[in-house]
Amino acid sequence: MGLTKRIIPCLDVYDGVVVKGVKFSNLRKIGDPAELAVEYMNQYADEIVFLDISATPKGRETMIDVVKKTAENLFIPLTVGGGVRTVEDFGKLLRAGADKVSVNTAAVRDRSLVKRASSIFGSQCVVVAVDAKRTSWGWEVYVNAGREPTGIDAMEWIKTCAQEGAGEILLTSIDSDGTRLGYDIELLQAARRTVDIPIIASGGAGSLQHVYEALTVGGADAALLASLLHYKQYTVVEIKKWLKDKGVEVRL
Amino acid sequence: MRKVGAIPNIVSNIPDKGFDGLILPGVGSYSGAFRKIDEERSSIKRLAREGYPILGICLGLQFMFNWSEEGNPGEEGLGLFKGVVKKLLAKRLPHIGWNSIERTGNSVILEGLENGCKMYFVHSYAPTNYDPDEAFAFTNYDDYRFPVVFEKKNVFGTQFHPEKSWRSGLKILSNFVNYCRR
Repeated sequence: MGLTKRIIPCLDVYDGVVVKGVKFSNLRKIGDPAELAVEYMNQYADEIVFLDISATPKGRETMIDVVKKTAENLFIPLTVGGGVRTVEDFGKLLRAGADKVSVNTAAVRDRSLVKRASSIFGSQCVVVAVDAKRTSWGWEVYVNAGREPTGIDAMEWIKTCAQEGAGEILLTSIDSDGTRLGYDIELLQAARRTVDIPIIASGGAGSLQHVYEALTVGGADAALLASLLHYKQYTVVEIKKWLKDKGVEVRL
Repeated sequence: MRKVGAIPNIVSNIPDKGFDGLILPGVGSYSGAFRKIDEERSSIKRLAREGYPILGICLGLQFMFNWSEEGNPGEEGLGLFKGVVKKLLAKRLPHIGWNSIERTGNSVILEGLENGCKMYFVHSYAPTNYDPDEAFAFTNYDDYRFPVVFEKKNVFGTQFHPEKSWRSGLKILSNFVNYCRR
């Protein structure tokens, strides 16, 4: 027995409601974040991620209330991300009941943010979300919801984040995201070789085999799942049972 | 705590009376929280002596030992349990995620929990040179075995986060609350 691989449902929240859509278009409301989070907890989800995609000041305030309401009945770790800019944003979300805060664009724009947030609140609550795209020389970091290239080498960036106090890396392959053709395994492997902190694989899962590959050959510690779960294709329990049969240690 | 039938009151200074038990929760670093713990040192030690139930969680547990390698020289722990907290001898740190606990004794707070149940951990340090009579459960990570549940009379501690460990964790908190009611 040892540390188990984690399955983490990701819920996109828009103005206080969980939505799903393809690449931010055709958003459809699918439910209440607090209720869905508890539903996933009861399915043996290991953690929950809320991603605030509203990107408006009003949406941010709504998110604080959503986190407060959710935290009352959620007894597994909750990570909240999307639009986090400052140390004050970290504080607000943590005080509302989030256990971890994920930061993406702001960490690139403000190079001292990860260090300041981790020294004030502890590394355990700082998750750096990295959106990486393949190039001729490796992988490049993109920001602004994957729209804006930065010229930064993703591996250098991950290494810097770990040194500055990031507790975990949420690594999304822009090339694979939304394709449902599988994770970018080489990206996960490269990240695994680069840092010791946990890597959460994201982007591209279309089948159970894909999740299995990310957690085994990819070396990821956790898999972030969205469409595989939201379209009711599988429950978390079904995914975990399947992984367990294949020899992956999971919590059931 | 409300979920398990208690009324929580988050305080920065420990009141003289009006409560049934004390929880020292904790995330963050030893030195970061030391000043606050140091201010409350005499109150916490008095409560422990007088038989008040006290539960330390994660960093809160680590403060219950004599000292931690994570702290600066002179930043003495509360000394409620014997031992010194040191960095885990694991290849990959921090130890983050769900891991199983192996019960080695009957602690009040472990009542009703199965051997091998899984708890949520986030830490890089763990107690060493502890008193085996005060340790009630262990966890393995990277081939390293360390104690994760402590009990000495009315003082308890867990290295993992019961508040984030779903049903198994809530059971621990519920056991603690029942002990406070005794």
